[in-house]
Amino acid sequence: MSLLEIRNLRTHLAVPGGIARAVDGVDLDLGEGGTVGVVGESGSGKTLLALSILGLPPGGPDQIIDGSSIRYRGEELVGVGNKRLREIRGGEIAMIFQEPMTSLNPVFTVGDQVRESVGLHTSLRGRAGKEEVVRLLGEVGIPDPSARMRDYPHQFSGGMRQRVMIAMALAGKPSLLIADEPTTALDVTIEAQILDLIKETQTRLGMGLLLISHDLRTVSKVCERLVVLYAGRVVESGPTAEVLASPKHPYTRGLMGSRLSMDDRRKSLRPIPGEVPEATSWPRGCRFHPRCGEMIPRCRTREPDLLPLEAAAPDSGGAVGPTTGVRKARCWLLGETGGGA
Amino acid sequence: MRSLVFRRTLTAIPLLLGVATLVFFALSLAPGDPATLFYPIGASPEVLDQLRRSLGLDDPLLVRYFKWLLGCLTGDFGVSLSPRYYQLPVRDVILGVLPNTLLLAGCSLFLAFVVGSLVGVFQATRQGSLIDSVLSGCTLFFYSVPSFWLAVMLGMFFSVKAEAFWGWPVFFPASGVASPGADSLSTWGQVLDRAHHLFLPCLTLTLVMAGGIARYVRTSMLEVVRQDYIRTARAKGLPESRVILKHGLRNGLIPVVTLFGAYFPILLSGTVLIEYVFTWPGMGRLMVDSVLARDYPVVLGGTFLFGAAVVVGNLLADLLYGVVDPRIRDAHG
Ligand SMILES: Nc1ncnc2c1ncn2[C@@H]1O[C@H](COP(=O)(O)OP(=O)(O)O)[C@@H](O)[C@H]1O
Ligand SMILES: [Mg+2]
Repeated sequence: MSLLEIRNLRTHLAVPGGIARAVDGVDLDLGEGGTVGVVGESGSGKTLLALSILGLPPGGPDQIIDGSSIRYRGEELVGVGNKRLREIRGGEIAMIFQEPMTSLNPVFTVGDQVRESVGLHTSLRGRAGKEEVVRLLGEVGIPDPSARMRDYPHQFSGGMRQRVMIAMALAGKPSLLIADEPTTALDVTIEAQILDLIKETQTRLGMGLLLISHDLRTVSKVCERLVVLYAGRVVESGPTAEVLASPKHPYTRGLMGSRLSMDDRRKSLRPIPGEVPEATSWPRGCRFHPRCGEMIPRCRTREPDLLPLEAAAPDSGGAVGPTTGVRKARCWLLGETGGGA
Repeated sequence: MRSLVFRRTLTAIPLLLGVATLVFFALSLAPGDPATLFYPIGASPEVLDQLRRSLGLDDPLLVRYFKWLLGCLTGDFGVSLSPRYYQLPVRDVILGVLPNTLLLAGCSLFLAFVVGSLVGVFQATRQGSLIDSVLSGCTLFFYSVPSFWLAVMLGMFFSVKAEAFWGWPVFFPASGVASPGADSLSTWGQVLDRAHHLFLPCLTLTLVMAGGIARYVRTSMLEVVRQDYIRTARAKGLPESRVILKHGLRNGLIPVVTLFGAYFPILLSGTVLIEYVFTWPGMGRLMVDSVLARDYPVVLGGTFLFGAAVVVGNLLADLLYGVVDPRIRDAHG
């Protein structure tokens, strides 16, 4: 049984300009202990996808449209009662956020905030609860945790706050960790440390990891599988090594183009022109076509389906393990088969 | 934190001296000679001279000023001139009525913050709903009506004309602090009797202040619930009530604490009028009576006390700000 199985997830928000179809039919699979990276530019719906898994879209769970399915170890989370949802949040699925500076409550000590999670999801109370807080803070690399737990968030640096967020997330012994751009707000040197910490913790505790980033390079360092999100839809997915070796969707190639090493410059990949359109008015046809350099007439009128590709190229080098699964892409250039359904 | 307390307390001292100075000169430079004001026209010059001497009014202005400052420091404001308290030290006159004012003001301030905060939080969690709009209308009403008008209206509604409005008598006393013969009641009986009398003046002051506080808390909470740490609190699995009342309210109340300083003067001037309407024998009532009775030393002492209360109220608000917001505490060492 897979850890997380998302089918046709649609989260639509009522906004002043109409209905923002920010997450619009996303499929995603994550095995026990597996690592999946979600990439896409800002505004492609990554954060909302993550919040939907916890039943926390900004206007409440009603924004998740009927017909969406989020299964956690086989249990349907869409429409589940509030009480069960609260057990899941933090206890089964924990999340850390992009902004460590504002994600911790400024008026409570970090110890209190970690301890609150310990109290919610474990039976540790009193002295044992306090010791658990010290242990968690030490585990995420905060020096002198028994003294630092009495400090307030503003007394910590950004990297240290993100470590506190991770300690808080680990407090409930979750089986799935969602990290939404955990390093975007941090310095490059700190970024590597935090990514290492997340990866190391995930491996040690055998958690599943859903790592979200706008930066293909960040997720490819950590994740076995990639899901490329554009305009609320998955445009390509597959094992990281294979996707990087031969990206099938022009958008994926574009994301790689904005992150080129010197070697790759020869392939003359350019960054993607323009930006993600408003979620209230996605383009007709393929949602990427107005920005696509390889557009053909059909892209304008009909949207391609997300279809499995033929078996991976033999020279891709990436070991295709049991958790990595098939490759899929959503593009007319890949063949005529799609679009009929 | 300790150095913050120390520093703020130090800055309050020159402020208090300023208040004492202002009060003194404002009243000394006002037209009219207290001696002639006090005695009927045609009193003999010898009598007036004697009175001036006993009041120290024959001293030069500066001498009187320093005597006054010294008096403020030692709590000696002279003796009352009114026939009612004749020759009683002003301090004792004031201390005699101060508990009544403190009871009224303290209860009203406490209730106004509790009721105002609850209403504000409730509205913020139901932003845009019908009940939110209705409550906004109510809070705007209580925020804008003059307190003495509200006092008169409530007095009519619940006391004087209650029977005409409700069809049966709703009796809350509209005057005084105690029923005649309350002394013979048991302790509990006296407490209940006092609460009964406190009801209308306290309700008036509470409503007037709670209106403004609720509007402020609503705005503040609407800002707070959009913050990232609220999302974090939800994501860790807290029930919504604790997300709002613990993580939200604790932050939402930070700006409200500064209101505490702003409400102190409103509270004091409010008590003056409301004590008068409900003949509540407190500081406000004493001040009005003393002005009418030309009891110059009591007016002077009372005004200084009001000024000092405003300074101390602001000092308390500053210190509370440091208590509720750890970032402030640190920024000041
Ligand atoms: N609270 C919100 N209110 C209105 N629109 C929102 C809100 N959050 C996100 N959106 C819209 O949803 C779309 C996807 O946002 P988001 O999930 O934050 O993207 P990403 O995390 O990939 O940058 C955006 O177009 C954004 O305008
Ligand atoms: Mg985001």
